[in-house]
Amino acid sequence: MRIDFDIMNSAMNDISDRLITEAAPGSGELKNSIIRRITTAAASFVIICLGAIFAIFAAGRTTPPITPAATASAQDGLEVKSVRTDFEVDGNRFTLEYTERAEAGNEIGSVKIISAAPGCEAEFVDTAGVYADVMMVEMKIDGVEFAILCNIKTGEVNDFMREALKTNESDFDISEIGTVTWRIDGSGIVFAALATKTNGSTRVYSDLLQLWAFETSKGKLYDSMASAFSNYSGSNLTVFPLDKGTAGDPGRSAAVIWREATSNNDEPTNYLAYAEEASYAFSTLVFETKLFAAPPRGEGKYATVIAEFPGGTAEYMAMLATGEIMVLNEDYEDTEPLMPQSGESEFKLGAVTVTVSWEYDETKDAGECVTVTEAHARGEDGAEHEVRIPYKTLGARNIMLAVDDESYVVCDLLANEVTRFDDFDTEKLVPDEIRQKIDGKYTPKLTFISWSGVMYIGLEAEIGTFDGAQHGILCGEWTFNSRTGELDGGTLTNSIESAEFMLTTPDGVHLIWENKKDGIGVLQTPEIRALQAAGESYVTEDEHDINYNLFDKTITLDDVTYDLSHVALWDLGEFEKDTARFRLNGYDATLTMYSQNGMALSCDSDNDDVHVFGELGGKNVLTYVNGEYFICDVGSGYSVAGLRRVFDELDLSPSSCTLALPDKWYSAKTTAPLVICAGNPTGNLTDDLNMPLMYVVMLRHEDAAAPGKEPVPGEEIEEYVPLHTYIIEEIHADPRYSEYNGISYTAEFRDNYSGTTYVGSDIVITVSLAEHSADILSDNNVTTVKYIYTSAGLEELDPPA
Amino acid sequence: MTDGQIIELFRQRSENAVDETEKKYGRLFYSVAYNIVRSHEDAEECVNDTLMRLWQSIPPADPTDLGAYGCRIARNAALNRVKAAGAEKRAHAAEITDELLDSIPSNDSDLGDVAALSASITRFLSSERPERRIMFVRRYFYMDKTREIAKLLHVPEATVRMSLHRMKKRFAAFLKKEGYII
Repeated sequence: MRIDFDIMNSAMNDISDRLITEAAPGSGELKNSIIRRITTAAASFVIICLGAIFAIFAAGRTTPPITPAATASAQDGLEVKSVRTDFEVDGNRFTLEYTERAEAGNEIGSVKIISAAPGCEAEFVDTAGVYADVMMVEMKIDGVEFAILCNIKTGEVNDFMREALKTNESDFDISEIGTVTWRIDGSGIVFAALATKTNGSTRVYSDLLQLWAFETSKGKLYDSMASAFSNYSGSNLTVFPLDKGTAGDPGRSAAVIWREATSNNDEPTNYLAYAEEASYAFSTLVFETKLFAAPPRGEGKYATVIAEFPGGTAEYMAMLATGEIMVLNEDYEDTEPLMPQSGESEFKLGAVTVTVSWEYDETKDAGECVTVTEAHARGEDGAEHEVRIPYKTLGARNIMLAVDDESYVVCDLLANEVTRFDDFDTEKLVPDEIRQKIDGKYTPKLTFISWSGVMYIGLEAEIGTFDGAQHGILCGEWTFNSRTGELDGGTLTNSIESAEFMLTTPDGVHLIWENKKDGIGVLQTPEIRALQAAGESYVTEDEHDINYNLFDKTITLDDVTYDLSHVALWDLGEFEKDTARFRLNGYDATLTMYSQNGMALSCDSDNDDVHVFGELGGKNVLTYVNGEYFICDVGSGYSVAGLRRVFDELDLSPSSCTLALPDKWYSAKTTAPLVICAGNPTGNLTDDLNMPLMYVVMLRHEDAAAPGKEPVPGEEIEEYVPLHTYIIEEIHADPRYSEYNGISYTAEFRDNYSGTTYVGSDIVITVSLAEHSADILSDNNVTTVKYIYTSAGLEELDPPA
Repeated sequence: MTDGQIIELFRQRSENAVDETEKKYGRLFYSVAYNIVRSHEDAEECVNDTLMRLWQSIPPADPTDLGAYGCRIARNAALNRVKAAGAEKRAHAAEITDELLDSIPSNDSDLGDVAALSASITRFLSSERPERRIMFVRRYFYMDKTREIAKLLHVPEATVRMSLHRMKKRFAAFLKKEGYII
């Protein structure tokens, strides 16, 4: 009997309640998992540093411990430990309860204040991790706020930070500590980072990063570092030590990672700062994913900053305490020694011996860091053989080569090992959908996108020769471990929605571009990049003039244009080209917009003085002309003027806003509703510290000479002025999900009444604009949308029951 | 309202039970169904089916976790719906299930009953780290796309794919150990 679709799904259906519930959206376990993932790594440091922490408690001004009361119980199969500890600060006693649950090797800690003396307010701020015995508690005694470190096991208190921070009291508000982590080593150096946030009636958060280093034994605050770091704004701030330190050689360095706050449409930049006592250095990291701390390895030898490499592989980067770079695998184990700057490798391919000389430049990106300087192949009889090296690196240490007419093999330059793909049944890996469309005209062969160790392999199918160039499609993707020779399972499921096309020109230049659909089916502008020419030096995009015209389905490489209509294997949707002439602030301009499925792809102006600032919904674009902003509907020729006044009144930068108008806003005649999403600084849907604001601004045509005058296409309207502005709070609208016409936002926001956080498609906030009104709608009445704006005006919603 | 209170309403045959269930779990059931049927209308139908089944089954059923119980019903309703529909509708669920089945090198087995297999899966998942366990359940129970799981867990999609791949290997080894794979 075979386990088939029905059996497997029936079996999955009957897994335990707990497994289903813990993975349900909004479940505490799910959140804990995320938090645990971030904090577990940092926590490991605390274990190591605990001894040192105790040393510091001894060195600092400590309060004698009060015996804690510990209890342990079993609940739902979980071991639960609860510790209540009395502390005393300035004669004020308070009690903290620390609860730790052990589950499948993971401990989950939480702290709450049980009691405090009258006039003494205490609020838990942070621990150094779930394993920590030491936590930071924010205190307020007689109205004076300060932070102390408490040892939950011993009842010891160290309030050195209170003294240190007093010297810098005017620079920050201790009540606004966003992220705090610290490390106390033998020398008594503490690194503390505080993200203060601009507060006020609105909920715009602008994080300000500050970093302090304290030398606890001397009570010295290195505030020069604070001033240096305060120039950088960001979020997701983490500070952690880079070196363990010993009594004789104390660690004195820390790393700080954070993300820069950005405008809506930009990927946030990750920063890495290296701090050593009062000195510091910055790096800008281009990694696409967030950075996080990893457990220390090798007795503190390895650093703790890790980040996913570009390309989506499961390898991570570590920065050593020495500042060097190391590659870690998914389990944060170091995989390879660092590459030498040059080397010579020898490979046996049957009776032929291939010798490759290469150079390694660690400053270059993966895929570019190895340069093959020389390659020879000789048979046992001494005869020369032809060596073909189409790609000189497959990451940091592997190259691909072929001898004579044989198939390509992957060569590990460090291990001198060769991996063949002979056993690969590439034929089986071609999806039927592609197989049918390309009419059997393909020759499967291997190509690659890789990083050291684990490699991504793509399957390339040639699908014919057109215009003297070969067209191909990368239609498969799987991973391969070049060290073990183990081939991991392939992923073909994304091949249709996110495939890469390849074109090989008659000159041998490979171009790869990508057509991908995002989650809501919007085809994005293709990303084009050039790969290297066969047997020649690496070709970068900078060396070629590459233009891709999605509308015409052509690609132009330097001066040669190739027709790509043959390789459109799936329906790219409806393409439209609209042109309209505008007179804006005294300047005439013709705007040309290419759109696809109603989504603007690009918009060009024939007048350099009329700048296309950004695309809005539908065929609307924001333009900037001589100090003023306009919205132009290229589909109809209507325009809205006077937006600078709107931005000024709202104190918004247009570059950090996403604007939307109803599709046929001009039918509103004298008024038009404009939705402004004021931006999520990090672009991160799930960061509730970065809630954007949404405004609905009713614009009114203020033409005193002709009240009620209808706009005329192409004719400049004197001015629209903001008539009413409504601030919609607490909507996590992500403009990346804004859709044409519907202007609907798939959002995350918190239901303050139930404490539930709805994510993604759970809740859809629809801002539908029609005629004179803008309605904020929700398909769920349990929302935090505070206002609903209808043609009758703005109404505040009743809190849900 | 707690699960217990809602179930008590079911026992009293109060139609408020359905309203309260929908209020508390309607979105969850919808997301479970939508992930499989990939159609708003069908997902809404599945939610309605689920509420009806809950009304019919409680009592005598007395679920300890109403959300999980309802999720199962919603999932079954959605799977039945896509099975009855064409291949295109079935593609997503089939693709994800096949992905799991493909990890099992040879699954000719002395299967026993489905309940035993389910218990084995629960045991396997209980031995996994929570975040990986959640990935697995999100993928093969809730049938999320890997991109959605990555977004949910704040990890790169490649990490999800890699973790799932490795889990499937361990899963296959576990099934072999438990006698499901010869």
